[in-house]
Amino acid sequence: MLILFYVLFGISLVYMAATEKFKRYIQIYTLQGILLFGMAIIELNKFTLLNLLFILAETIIFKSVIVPYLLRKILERTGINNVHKRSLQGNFTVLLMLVILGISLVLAHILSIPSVDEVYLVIAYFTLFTGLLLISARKLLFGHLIGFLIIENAVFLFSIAIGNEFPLLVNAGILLDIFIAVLIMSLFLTRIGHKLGGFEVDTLSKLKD
Amino acid sequence: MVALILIIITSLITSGLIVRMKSIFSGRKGPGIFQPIKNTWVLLRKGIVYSLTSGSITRLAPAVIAASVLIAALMVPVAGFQPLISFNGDFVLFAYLFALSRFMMIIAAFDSGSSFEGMGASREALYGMLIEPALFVLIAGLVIFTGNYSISSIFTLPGKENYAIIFGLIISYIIGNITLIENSRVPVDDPKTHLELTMIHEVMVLDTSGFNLALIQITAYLKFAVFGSLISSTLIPATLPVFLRLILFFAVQVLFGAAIGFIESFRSRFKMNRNQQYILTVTLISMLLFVVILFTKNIF
Amino acid sequence: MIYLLIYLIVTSLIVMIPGRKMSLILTGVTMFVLVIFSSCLAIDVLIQTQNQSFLLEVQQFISPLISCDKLSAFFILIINFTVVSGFLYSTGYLKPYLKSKPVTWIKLHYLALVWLHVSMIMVTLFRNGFYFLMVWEIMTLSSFILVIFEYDVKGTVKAGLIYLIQMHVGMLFILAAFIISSKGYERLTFDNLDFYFLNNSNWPVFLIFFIGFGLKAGFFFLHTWLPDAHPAAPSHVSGIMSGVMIKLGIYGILRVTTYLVSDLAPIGISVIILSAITGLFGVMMAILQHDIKKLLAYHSIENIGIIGLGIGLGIYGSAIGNVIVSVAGYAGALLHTLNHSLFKSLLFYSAGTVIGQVHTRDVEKMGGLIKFMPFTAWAFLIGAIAISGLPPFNGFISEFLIYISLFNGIGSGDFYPLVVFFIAMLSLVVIGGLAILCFTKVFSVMFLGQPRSEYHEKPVEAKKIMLLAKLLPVIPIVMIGFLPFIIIKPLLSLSGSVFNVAQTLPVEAMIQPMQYISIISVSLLLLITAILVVRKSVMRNRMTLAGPTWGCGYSSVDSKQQYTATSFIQEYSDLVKPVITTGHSKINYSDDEIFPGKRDFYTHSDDFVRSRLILKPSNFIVTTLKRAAIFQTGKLQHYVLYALIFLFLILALTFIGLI
Repeated sequence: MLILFYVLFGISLVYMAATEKFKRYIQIYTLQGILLFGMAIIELNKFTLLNLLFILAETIIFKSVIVPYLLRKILERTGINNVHKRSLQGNFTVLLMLVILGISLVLAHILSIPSVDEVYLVIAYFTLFTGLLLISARKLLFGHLIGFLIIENAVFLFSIAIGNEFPLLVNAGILLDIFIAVLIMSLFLTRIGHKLGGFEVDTLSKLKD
Repeated sequence: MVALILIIITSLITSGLIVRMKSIFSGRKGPGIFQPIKNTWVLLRKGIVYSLTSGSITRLAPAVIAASVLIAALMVPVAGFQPLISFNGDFVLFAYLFALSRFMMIIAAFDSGSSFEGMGASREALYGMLIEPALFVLIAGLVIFTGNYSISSIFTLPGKENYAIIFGLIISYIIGNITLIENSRVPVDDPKTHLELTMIHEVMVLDTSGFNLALIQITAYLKFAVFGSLISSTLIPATLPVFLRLILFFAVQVLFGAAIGFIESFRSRFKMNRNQQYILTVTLISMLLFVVILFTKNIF
Repeated sequence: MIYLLIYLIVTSLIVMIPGRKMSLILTGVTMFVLVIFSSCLAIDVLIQTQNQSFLLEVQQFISPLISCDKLSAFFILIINFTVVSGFLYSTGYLKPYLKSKPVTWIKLHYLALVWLHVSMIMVTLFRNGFYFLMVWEIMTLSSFILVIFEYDVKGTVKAGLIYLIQMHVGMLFILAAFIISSKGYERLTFDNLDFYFLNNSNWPVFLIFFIGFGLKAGFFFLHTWLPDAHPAAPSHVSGIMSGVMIKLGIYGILRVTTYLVSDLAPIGISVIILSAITGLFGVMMAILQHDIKKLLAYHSIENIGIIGLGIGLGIYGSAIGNVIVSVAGYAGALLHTLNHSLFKSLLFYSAGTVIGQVHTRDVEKMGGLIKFMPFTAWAFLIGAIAISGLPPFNGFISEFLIYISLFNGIGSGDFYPLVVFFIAMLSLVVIGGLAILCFTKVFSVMFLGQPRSEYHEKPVEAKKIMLLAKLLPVIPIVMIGFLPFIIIKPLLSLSGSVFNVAQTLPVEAMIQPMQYISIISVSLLLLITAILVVRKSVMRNRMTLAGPTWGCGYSSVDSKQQYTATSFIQEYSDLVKPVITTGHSKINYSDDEIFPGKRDFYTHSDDFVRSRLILKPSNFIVTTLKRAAIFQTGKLQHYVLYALIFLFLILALTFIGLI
């Protein structure tokens, strides 16, 4: 049953690679939050009650409600819509995703851990590399933010795959990361951004002046 | 033999079903289900106008296009009925017969010397090249899953495991996408638009008329039927009694036509540049299925 | 051996005899005699069931070790067929040149042709290292003479020189490999490899041999001479070179492969990966070309990639112990060697006819030629369909064999082989799709539609002898395509026995698909004929009109409005921009130019291997060494001074004790 969630997660990543509008990113991220919640429920017996409550809070409330709300506010304020400036950049994302899927498959086989089913590792690696790809292949700042959030999801997946216990510390760290990132980004994009002239990453390099 | 008859029957109804669905969703009553067939029948009895620029290729190509797809249809299993010809590795022949029909269609498009047809031909060549990996990755996954090497054996519902039906649905989804791309339906190309700058298949037959045009339309119907049969083979187990299989087969075909009509009505066409990305995404989905098959077969 | 000496004498006589007709006839006679003799030998060897080789060893030390086993026999048949068709083609093709070039040059050309034929056959027969390299050199030199036939055209001699130099580098690699593997033996032969591979690690010597033979074959990184030499050479020479001479590099690799015993897996994987890259690179570059012969040359690189893929699969199949993968892989490679020589020579002959009539190699200036030269056009179409690997012709059969090998590998499943087979399958699929893109472009732009530029003289169909030369390859193409089961059994036994794969071959498993394929091909043909007959009978009572092409309301449709080759591939070239860039000329308009005047526009694509790997370092070396020119002052006193310094230096070093 767990494998179904993992496969759905993989499909959501494929969709994220192919889509054109930023609001779809937010919707997929919400879906991923719910899937993570489902995975955590399935692995119920492994956690203590406090841990479980924390994970519930983290996945459902934080990832599926608060963060998408903030992201949507950012989108409204800044008015960005399309992911790519020119349509041809989409091809290369999909091609690179193909290569990444193959690489994560081979990597999971090479770095396999005996106690863990390799399925989970493959999807976790896939998520990680997709996040990195999104960061490196998107020109707009919003794409970077989404990539970062996906990498956080990947860390969550790794911890579910590997850990029998699920330490509070890891979760708190993830939560802090997300919080700071979204906070800073929303501040930047809504308050300061339009004064600095644009949301492309290239313009950020002029910040030092 | 039964498989071939079923394919031919299906080809008569699928196209009309799609048109009917689109009309219903637009709020009209729409033409009858056999209307496209009647149109084709009228075309078969008309005279032909050839372009002055075209040569012997235009006279030969429609026959080759129709014949290669029809021969390819001889190898397709239908809802558990075995096809006429099947041997190890026949999916390669199947895919390459389709490629042969595409080759002849592109050449015939150039033969008229029209720039519109050249436009359509260039797009058709590129999209055809991009969709081949998707089909082959899907076939590779099915080869691993079933352990057989022939179309009739790999496109069958694999056993009674409870995830078999999920696989069947995903395979049907991929084949559905491949159908949309091969037949140039929405979202790749809108067959209703006759703006030459945006057509793919429609524009390649601008200078074809009469009997030749009827042949090409028959080819399009056959392609729908072939892909629909592949889907039905994947979803209907071969162990059911014959009568039940026939009913389920027609149900699947009707659903297939209705689904395509539904997609065509509610989805808009992509920008031309985005088509490449869409086709590559289908390959990505195929590969994801391949990876999942590797999990279930424990090849690790 | 005696026969060969006689041939050399006779061919030298050809240069002496005045008169062009006589030399032509003598060339033809000698060629046919050699063909008959060697073909009989080859068929005799092939018919035998075991891998018996026919040894001919006259004396101990001086004579070469000649042996003809099945592999050599197979290649001899391929060589003979293509050389015969090439010769027939050249008799018609060279007619316009007979008046413009000096007599001696033409006779030298024919002499070189005969020597090329003889040396190619000897390459497959000789096993002794030094003699092998000697005939290899003769082959290179004679093909060099053939390539620079049109020495007055700019760039031909340079292309020929590039070719010559690269072939020499290859020869050095082969020599090095021979020397390494024959340490301690009195002779350098291929058989020393047998013992060497048992005791030492296989892959270094294999790598050196591969580089040496790969330079001849045209694998990636080693291919840079191909796209220059083929356009520069006359068409029959391009056909022979691309058809068989390149295959002798493959022959060398195969010969070394028959001796491999260990390290099979890494060698197999690297050959597969390199061949996949070669195939993809070749076809990707081929699509972007406008010069038809350069396009065909890049396409040869792609087909060498497919053959290499088959070889790599054969090696890897032996490594993982899967018999079907190995046998089918080798069989596919060998069959594709035969097929490629057939259809590539056919394509080059057709292209040569077209170029001879239209006087340009640029595809963008052609069009509508099917009305003027229908036979050539149909021959080109058959070649184009065959080279794209489409049924019902022979290209499909060899690709089918490689697919059988691949899918058997995928189905047999451990993880790492699966990854390798998967990557190989994906590359083969993409190569096939791109080949269709390439050849629809070429055929359509060249032969269909309307002429895209003014033809100075009306093109006419080629002469009968050239048509016959084109017909010759068509017959086996069609035959192998429609009746593959005739050839599959000897092919399988050939690949099985030569490469020591298995005692029992899975012949039955592979004959059945072939029979079905031929049933399907025949029924396809019957169905097409049936549809055409039905149409004809139905149309008898109805009107068939002709009208102008639909122009969407334009009143003056020009032939320049047709789709050009560049526009056909434009979406594709945008897709591959990160890998292969296409540059184009810039067009500037001045501000006061209201109605733009005539401009020229051209696009070109760069071979990045050639520009970055070869041209950059060689330019760098040249500019650096030019600085040494300050020593060349031209004054005698300085040179005497240099000699004096050198003497003092030697004295000092001897004094210290270094020398």
